[in-house]
Amino acid sequence: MKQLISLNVNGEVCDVAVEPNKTLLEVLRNELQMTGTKEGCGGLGQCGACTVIMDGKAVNSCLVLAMDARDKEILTIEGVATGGKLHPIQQAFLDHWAIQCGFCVPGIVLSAKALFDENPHPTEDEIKTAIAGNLCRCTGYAKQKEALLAVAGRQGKEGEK
Amino acid sequence: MSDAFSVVGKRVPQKDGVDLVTGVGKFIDDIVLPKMLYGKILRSAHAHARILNIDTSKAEKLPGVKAVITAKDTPRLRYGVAQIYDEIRDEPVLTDDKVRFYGDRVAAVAAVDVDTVEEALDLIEVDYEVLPAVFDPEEAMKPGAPKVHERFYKGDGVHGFKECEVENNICITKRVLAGDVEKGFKESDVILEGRYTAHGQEHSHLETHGAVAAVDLMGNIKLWTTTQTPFTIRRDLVKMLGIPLGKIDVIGTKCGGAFGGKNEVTVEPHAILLAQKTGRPVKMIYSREEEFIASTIRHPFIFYSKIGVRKDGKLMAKQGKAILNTGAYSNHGVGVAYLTGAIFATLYRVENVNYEGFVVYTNCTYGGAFRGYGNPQMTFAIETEMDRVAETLNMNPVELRLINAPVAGEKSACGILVGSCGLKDCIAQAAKTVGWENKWKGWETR
Amino acid sequence: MKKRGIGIASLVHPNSVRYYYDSEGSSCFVKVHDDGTVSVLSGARDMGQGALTIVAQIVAEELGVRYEDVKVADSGGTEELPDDLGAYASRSTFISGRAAQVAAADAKQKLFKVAAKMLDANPEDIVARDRKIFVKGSPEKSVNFADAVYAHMYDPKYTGHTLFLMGQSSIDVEGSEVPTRETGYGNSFCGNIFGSHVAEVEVDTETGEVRIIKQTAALDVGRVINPMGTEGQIEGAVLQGYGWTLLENMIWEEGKTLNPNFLDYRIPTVFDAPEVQVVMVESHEPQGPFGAKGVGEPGMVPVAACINNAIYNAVGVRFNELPITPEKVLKALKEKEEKDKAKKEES
Repeated sequence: MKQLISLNVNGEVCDVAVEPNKTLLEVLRNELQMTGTKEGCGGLGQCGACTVIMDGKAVNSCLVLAMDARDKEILTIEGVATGGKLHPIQQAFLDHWAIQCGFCVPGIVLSAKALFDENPHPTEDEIKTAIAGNLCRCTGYAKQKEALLAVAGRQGKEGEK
Repeated sequence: MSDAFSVVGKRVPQKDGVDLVTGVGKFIDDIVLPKMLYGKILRSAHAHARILNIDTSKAEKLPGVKAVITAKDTPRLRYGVAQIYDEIRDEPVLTDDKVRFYGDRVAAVAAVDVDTVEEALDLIEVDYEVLPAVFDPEEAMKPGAPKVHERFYKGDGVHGFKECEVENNICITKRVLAGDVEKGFKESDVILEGRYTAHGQEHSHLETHGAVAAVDLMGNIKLWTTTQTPFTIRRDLVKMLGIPLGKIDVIGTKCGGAFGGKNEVTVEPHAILLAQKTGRPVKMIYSREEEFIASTIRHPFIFYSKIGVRKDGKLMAKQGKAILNTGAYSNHGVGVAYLTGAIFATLYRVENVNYEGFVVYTNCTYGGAFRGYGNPQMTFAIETEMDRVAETLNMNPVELRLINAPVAGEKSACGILVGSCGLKDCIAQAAKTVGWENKWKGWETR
Repeated sequence: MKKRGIGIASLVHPNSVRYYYDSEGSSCFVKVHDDGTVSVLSGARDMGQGALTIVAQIVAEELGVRYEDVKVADSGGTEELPDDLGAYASRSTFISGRAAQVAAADAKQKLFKVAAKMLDANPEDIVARDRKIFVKGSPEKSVNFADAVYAHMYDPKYTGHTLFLMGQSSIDVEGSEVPTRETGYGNSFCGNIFGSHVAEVEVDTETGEVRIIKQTAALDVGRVINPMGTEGQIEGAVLQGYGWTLLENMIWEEGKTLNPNFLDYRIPTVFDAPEVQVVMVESHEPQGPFGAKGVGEPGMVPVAACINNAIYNAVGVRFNELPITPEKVLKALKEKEEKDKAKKEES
C-alpha cells in the first residue's frame, strides 16, 4: 500500500505516494518524472548509472529505498547545473568529449561532484576511485579522466598518486 | 590538422553534449505516453524443446493485464537480417513450434505496470517436450546431432524464397577462393598450422534494448526504438508483421550505446502487436539479464589455419576453415562468415587463398553484429599466426608484416580494392612511437 | 614477478560492405535560414559516436559558415528524415557524412549564383569560409554569407528569382559490388581502413594477471573531422578489445548463461583502462567527406592479437584460445617451466 512521504530533491521538497518496496531510483524516474537518473543493471548496484548524491555522498539510488531517503538532501543530475550555467565538471566533459552515448554521464558527473565537493584538487587515483563504480562502455574512460584531471587543476599531470 | 579548413579537423564539442551532460536527452525508457502499458516477453525454460501447449488463461485473468499474445496472434512469418543476398528467414516473432535457446520468445504480456507484467509471465503455463540439445558447433555438424532447425527459408528479395532442409545444422557455408593453394604450399619453405578459438562477447551497452509502440485509430503505427538502424528496422517489420511500410513510422530515440547490438530486432514487433491488441501505447524494455540471455552476442569462433611462407617472408598460401557458432538463429551469421573470409584474404598480399566459413546452429544464445563483425576473431588468429611465422623464420615481426603489406591500388586475392592504404605507414609509425627497435630484443623467450 | 613485453598486430577493416543490400545509400536535406544559420535533416544515426556532430562540422565547412551556425535534427523518424541504412560497419562519417557534404554543396552552388553576381565574379572563382563569401585570392572582395542568403531568398535583381535556399542529396558509394557466392570474389568494401597496434603488457607470473600498460594504435584514418571524436572511438574500442581478451567471459552450462549481470561478467572499469596513444595517419579517402574514413570499429580489431603477441614477448607463452584468463596464464607458465626443465635435463 502506498504511503505519502516527503523527499527533498534538488532543493525542493515534494510529497509523493510510494510503496515501501520502491527504490529511490524508481520514485525519481516514475513518480517525479526525473528521468536523468538512469537504470542500467537491473537495480543491482553494479553499474553506477543511477548515482545520486544523498547528504553529500554518492550512492546508487537503485539500492536506496525511497522510504530511507526521507529527510535527506538528494541531488540528481537535474540539479547540478545552477543559475543557467553548467557545473565545471559538466563543462569539462563537454570540452574534452568525455561523453559519447551519454547514458553513464549523469552517474559519473554525480560521483565526481561528490568527490570534488569534499576535495577540490583530487589526485588521479582519487578520481579513479570515485568513479570506479560507474561503468562506461563507450569512452574507454580516457577522456573522462582527462576532463576530471582538468577540473582538479591537474591537467597533464597524469600518473600523480 | 590542416589550416585549409575552418571547421573540419577542429576539436569542437558535441551538438547534443549539453542535453546529455544535464540528463535532458531522452532515451527509450524516458518516454512516457498517456495510458501507456508495459510489456515483457516470456522466455523459454529450456535450451531446446517442442511447445505442446500454451495456456495463457490465468495470466489474462490477472487484474491489470490487458493483453497476452502467442504465435497465433502473429502472422507466423519467419524473418532474417539481410534484404537481398543470401537471406535466411528462420526467426519467428513468437515461436510456434520449438524453443531453440533459453532466451527464445514464447509469449508476450502487456499490463498496467511492470510488477503486474512479471506476475502475469509466471502465470503462463507452457507444456514443453524437452529435446536433446547441442551446444558445441563442431558436435552440431556431426551426423546424428540434434537438429536445431529442420527447415528454413532461403533466398533473396529479388528472386524469392524457397523452403529448404537444414543439413548437419549448417545454416550456410561461405567460401573465399583464389589462386591455387596447393601450388602455393608446394612453393612454401615453411608451413604452419594452428587451431584457434575465440569466445563470444556481450555488447553490454549501458542502455538496454527497448521500444514503445503506439497505434492510432487508422492503424498508423508510431514506434520509438533505440535501434541503430531505424529505416532498416522499418523494412524488417514489414517482413515480420506483414504491415504496409507506409503505416509504420520508426523514431530512433537517443541511443545509449549499441556497438552492433542494436542492429537487430528485439521487442519492436511485440510492442506493436500488443499496442494493436490493446489500443494503448506499450513500452517494452529489456532487463540487463535479458541482454545477456536473449540479445545477440559476438559469434564464438573456431578457426583452423594453415599458412605457407617462403623463407624470405613472402606469404605463399593461406588456407582456413572457420566455424561460427551462430546459436539458435542465423541473424548476422551469414555476413560475419563472409567478412572473416574477406579479411583472411585481404589483410596481407597473398595470391592463393582457400577459405571456408561454416555458420552452424546450436542451442546457444545467438550471434549478431558486434563491433568488428568477425574481424576481431579472425585477426586474433591470423595475427598470432603471423608472429609464429616470424618466429619460425627468425624474422622481426615488424619486418614480416612490412614485406607482405599491400599498397594503394592493389586488389586483394578476393578482389577487394585497397584504396588509400597506410598500412606500411601505420606499422612503421606504431613501431617508431613505442621504440620497437629498442624494446624488441628478438625471439629468445624469457 | 612482473614481466613486460610488447606485441604488434595489423588490421584491415571495411567502411561498409556491399553484401546484404545492393545499395549503400544515404540522403540528406540542408535548409539555410534567412540569417545564414542552417538546419540539417540527416539520415545519420547517432548512437554516441558523434554522427550528428560530424555532420554539422561537414556541413559548416562545405557551406562556409561556423560550427555554431549549424543545427542537426536530433529527433524525428522515418516519415520525415531522409533515408539512410543506419549506423553500422563504420559508415556514419564515410557515407552519411558525405551525403551531408553533397547536400551542403548543392545549397552552396545555388547560393553562389547570387553571390557571384553580388561580387561581380564567376561562381567558380568564389569560395565561402567563416560566414563570408569572397573571391579566391582576394578576401577583401567579399559579402557576408547571411546577406547572400537573404538576397537569394528575397531580392530578384541578381537572378530574376527569389527562392528559399535548400540543398539535398541522395548518394551511393561508387565502385563496390556484391561478391560472388561461389568464390567470394568482388570489391565489396566500400572503403577500407588499415592500421597497426602495439601493446605493451605486464604479466604477473605469480597471479597470472595480464595488464596492458599502453596501447599504441596507428590508424590510417583519412581526413580527421574531429580529433576528439576519432580518439574517443579508438580509445573506447581498445578497451572493449581489452575486456574481450582478458576480462569478459560468458559462462554457459548446457546453454544457460550462468553470469548474466555486471558483477559476474566483468566489463572494464576505469581502473582497467590502459594508456592509449592514438596515432592518426592521415590520408585521403576519395569517397569520404573531405577525404574522411569511418573509424568506429578498427580500434577493436587487433587488440587480442597484439596482447597475445606481447604476452609471448614477456613470458614466452602464446595462447590459441580466448579469453586469456589468469588461470590459463599460470597453467601455461607452469607447462613452459616443466618443458624448459625437461629440455635442460636432456641436454
